[in-house]
Amino acid sequence: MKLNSSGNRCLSTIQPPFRLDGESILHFQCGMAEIEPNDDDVFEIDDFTVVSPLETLVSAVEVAIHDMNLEGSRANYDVTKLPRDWELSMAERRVTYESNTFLVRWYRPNAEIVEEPKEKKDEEDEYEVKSEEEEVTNLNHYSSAAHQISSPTLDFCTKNNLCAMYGVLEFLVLQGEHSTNDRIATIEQKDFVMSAVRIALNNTNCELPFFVLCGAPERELYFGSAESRTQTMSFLPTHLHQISPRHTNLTGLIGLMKEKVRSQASVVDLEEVRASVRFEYQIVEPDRPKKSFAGDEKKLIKDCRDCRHALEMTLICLWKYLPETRVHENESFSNLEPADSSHWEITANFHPRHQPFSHILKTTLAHCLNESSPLAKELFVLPPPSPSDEVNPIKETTKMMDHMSLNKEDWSNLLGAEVLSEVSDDDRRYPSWATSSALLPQSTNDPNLAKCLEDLRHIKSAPPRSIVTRLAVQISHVIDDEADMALKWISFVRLLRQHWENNKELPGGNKVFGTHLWSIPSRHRRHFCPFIMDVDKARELPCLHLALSFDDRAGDRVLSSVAAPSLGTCIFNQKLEMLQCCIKARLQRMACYENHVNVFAEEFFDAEENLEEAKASNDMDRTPAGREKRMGEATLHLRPDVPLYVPNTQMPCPMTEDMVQAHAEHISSLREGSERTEAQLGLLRSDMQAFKAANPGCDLIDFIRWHSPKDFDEETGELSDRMRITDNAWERCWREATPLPAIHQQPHFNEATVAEGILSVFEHATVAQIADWILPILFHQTALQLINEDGQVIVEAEGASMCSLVSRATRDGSQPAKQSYYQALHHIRKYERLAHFHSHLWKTFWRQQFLKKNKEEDVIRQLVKDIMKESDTERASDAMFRTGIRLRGGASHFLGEIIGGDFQGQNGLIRKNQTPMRKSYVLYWNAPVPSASSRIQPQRIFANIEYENHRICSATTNDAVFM
Amino acid sequence: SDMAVQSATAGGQPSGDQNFDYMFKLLIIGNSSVGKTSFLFRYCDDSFTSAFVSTVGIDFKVKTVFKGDKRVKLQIWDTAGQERYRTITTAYYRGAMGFILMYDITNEESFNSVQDWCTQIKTYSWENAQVVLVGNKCDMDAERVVSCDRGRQLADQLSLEFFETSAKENINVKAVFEKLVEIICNKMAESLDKQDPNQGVKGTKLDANTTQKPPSQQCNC
Repeated sequence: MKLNSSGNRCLSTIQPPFRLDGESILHFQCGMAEIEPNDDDVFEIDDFTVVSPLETLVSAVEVAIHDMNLEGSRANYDVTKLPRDWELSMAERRVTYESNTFLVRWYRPNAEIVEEPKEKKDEEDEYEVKSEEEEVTNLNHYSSAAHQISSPTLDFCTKNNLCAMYGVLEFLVLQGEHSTNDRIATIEQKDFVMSAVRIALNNTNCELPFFVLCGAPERELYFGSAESRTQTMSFLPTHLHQISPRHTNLTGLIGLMKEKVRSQASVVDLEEVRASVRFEYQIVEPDRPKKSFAGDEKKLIKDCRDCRHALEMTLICLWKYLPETRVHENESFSNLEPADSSHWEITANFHPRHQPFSHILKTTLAHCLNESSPLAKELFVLPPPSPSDEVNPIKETTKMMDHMSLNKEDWSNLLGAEVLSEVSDDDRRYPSWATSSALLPQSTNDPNLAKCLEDLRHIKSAPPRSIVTRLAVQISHVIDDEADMALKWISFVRLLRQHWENNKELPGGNKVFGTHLWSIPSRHRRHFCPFIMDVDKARELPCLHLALSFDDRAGDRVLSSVAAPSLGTCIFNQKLEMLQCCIKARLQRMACYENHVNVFAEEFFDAEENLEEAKASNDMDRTPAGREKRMGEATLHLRPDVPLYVPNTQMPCPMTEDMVQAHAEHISSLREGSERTEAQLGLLRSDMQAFKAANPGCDLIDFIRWHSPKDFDEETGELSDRMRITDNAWERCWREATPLPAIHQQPHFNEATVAEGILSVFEHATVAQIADWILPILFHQTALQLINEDGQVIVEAEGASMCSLVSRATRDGSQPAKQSYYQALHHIRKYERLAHFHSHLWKTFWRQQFLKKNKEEDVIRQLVKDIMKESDTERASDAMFRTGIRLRGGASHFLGEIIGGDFQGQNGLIRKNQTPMRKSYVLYWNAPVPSASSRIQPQRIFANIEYENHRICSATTNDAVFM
Repeated sequence: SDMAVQSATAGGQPSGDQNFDYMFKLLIIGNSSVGKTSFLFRYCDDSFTSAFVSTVGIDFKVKTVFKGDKRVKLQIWDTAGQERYRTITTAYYRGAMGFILMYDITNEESFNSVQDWCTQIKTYSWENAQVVLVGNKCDMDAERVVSCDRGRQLADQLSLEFFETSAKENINVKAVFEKLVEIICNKMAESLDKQDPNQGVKGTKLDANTTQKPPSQQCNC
């Protein structure tokens, strides 16, 4: 007979030769024992040589038991001495039967808690004497397993389900090796295997409880049996969807137990039933956000549903080993109230269905990589601006912000309301999250936080308060909707154009661009320094002064306050700064012309006239123009009586990094060194022109003395060798340069071209480009917000790695597939869950009245930390029970009030008369079984009652001697 | 050293040919007339002229070297030292993986500016950029004003590698570039090690089996 048919690879073909239960086993075993090999009967010998299938399995199990050295009785465990961190260790043997393979697993505690065997021996000697008198209390007839099941230590054990269901600590389990092929599926198969197990236990005198796992994985049942010289135990499970309501409460279960055990002893002699009870209550989060962050109503409903189940919190109330007279629970009455339990535990699960930050970043990345991304202007067309619009920067900004913040309130829940408002306090490191500001680490003594902030300091993004960041945040609100993105973008770009065309500096000006200085220590300020900085103010900062002093010496003051875009920021910010440069440059040029047009015009025309004369006769008579200051005591090389002047010069063309790149590529495309030099002579030429205009009668030596002092020998008054190379670039340029003050020169910086270029790129942007521009800013903001929201948690969870990944992603220029961003996103997702988990828990327990109470705050902080740690601890997926975080003192703990309120009103997280969502019981009864003259035997029933999941497991013991 | 010269292309189109495994962008910076251009020509062309025309803006040369079995293309940018060009040249700092910060041992002022240049690098370059401090013109010992010890002290203080060189006598020129390439490779290997292997980040370590130069070779004075 094969267990394994070809069609159905289960044990369905088994037809057990015997149908055994209860007493017939004994008879059968006796029969086996009686058959001796030396029997004379020839017929019997023949019969005996035919090995039945049962015998095959029996001997295989016996071999396994023998192999693990488990024959005979087992030492007693002192379950009360179990250490906190005990675990079950497991050894296994493979048992093959026909074509099926089973595993026999031996579980035992890893702790050294075996009772001294000496005591036991002494007691055994006295056994005969004592047994008559103290039968009721003397438990010497108890096997090791009987001791275990009568102890409440393993109530609702979290380590192993069998420990919890049957109260056993050391046991054997037989199960199919392959969960489907070797599954014991039918009752017949189970009975057959159980028979074999019982025979094997009896043959080997093994006293360990032996369980057989039957049924499908979703409905596993452990049937079991244990035998000692004095006791037989049987372990029976039931697992039902529906159960009679009578058996869903303590009273009913006690009834069930008494019915099942059917003790013959008189009621007077019987002990009370004792019960351990474990109720789980669902804790409801207070102030569940009613609003979602999205405006769409459909989405709102969906999101609300999503977040409702994000945090599952449970209060566990335990009552341990109480006599039946003290606890009452039936269908209509219960005295098991959370307030009366002294043992409270809290557990939590957090499965966010929606992670807004990660979602936004993921969507933005997807937009970036969309090759067929549409043009923003084609998605949305604004009505043409009315020409009479008087542009007022401040009003316009407000208007723009209003227009853009359709979902302002919703969004403020996500990124903090401050994103949209000005920050006056420059000392704040980052915007604080209103509801969790208590958690915000206020000092940077924490090296982890310092590391986070240090990593973010090198990020290539935009200043957190800048208009660029605000726009990015605004666009991210509508990242799911390309048309909405286009609307915000186009309206923003239109505003930019208005400012450019009306010569108005960009909204916010110094204020917006300048406020970010707060987060940068002074030594880094130049790096992040916005170009808008007031030059006088900038001089007060030591570094800036250094940076500016280079310019000072070069003497370029004409466009002095229009510096270059800061190349340390992201390209979008650079472009906007560049636009501001353009507007400023044009304003300044206009101011320059208005103030000096007459003077300069005169000088200019004079110069032109004189130029002709100079060519003909004497350059010295030309009227000097564009002088800034005297150059020390220096005088003209040819005319020691004429002082040298430093001219006003044009400043080098400000460049964004893509312009730098383009220029570098242009230079490197030129094959000859002379071409490359020629391509860069512009600045030199204009300097020479300005110098000539300021110093009539000067020559190259004078110019070099000012421009490249190292090439001028003060002692000999001669130029260096390299400047005297025949027809070198400097000399040639000097020959060709005409005197022309900077103000009249062709400007290097053609602000109109640059500004139009930027605006045109913006106006023709695709959604992918927009997403690409705001990407670094959104990652930056997310990292800031996550640190900010629940700083400590993120920081302690090595948030620095997230920060450095984000920072690196923004600086990694060569990544068409955005791998670095995806890598950063991977981490952000993890930290976002953590941050929100923490935030949910915090909101649940935190109350305004704890504001000034440091002790309470510490307790809550620790509790939240413990709950999160427990929740994220790996555990077996099928574990029946979880150890929660103990709330010492239960209802009398100050948090008990928060959870339970006064148990009268509605203030608590648990409602009055809230029904537990899960109830578990363990009942103990020591009663003489099977007859009145039997010694007392431990009986145990475990029950787990929850919605559509009812499990009752009984461990019953019978006296095998006094029956 | 197993680093060998493969080709020495002067000028050329750096982005044109793909005949390399890695490209490092290097920058030579320092005060005016400390010998940056001569140094670059000595390395790339093995030539020396007493006078190169003062560099206007920026210029570059390309050289491919072997590091282990990998071809490393060096795009070396030469910069104008004059103050006037400083805002222009600093724009090119970004993206440079290595810097040769040069002073002239016969010129005190150029040595005194080293600190300023270093600040400029920190401010404008990528944070991982590697820097070698070079005291050039060490053949002109008679006119020396900055001793080798002062140079080394300053390098230690700024945590930089240090060499004294002569472009004219071809002393340590190659060693400077080899050292710079080596420390860049080490830094790359380090950051690859730091990355989580599960994240699937692509990148290969360069073999860092280049033999170390004996210390005596680092300074010929």
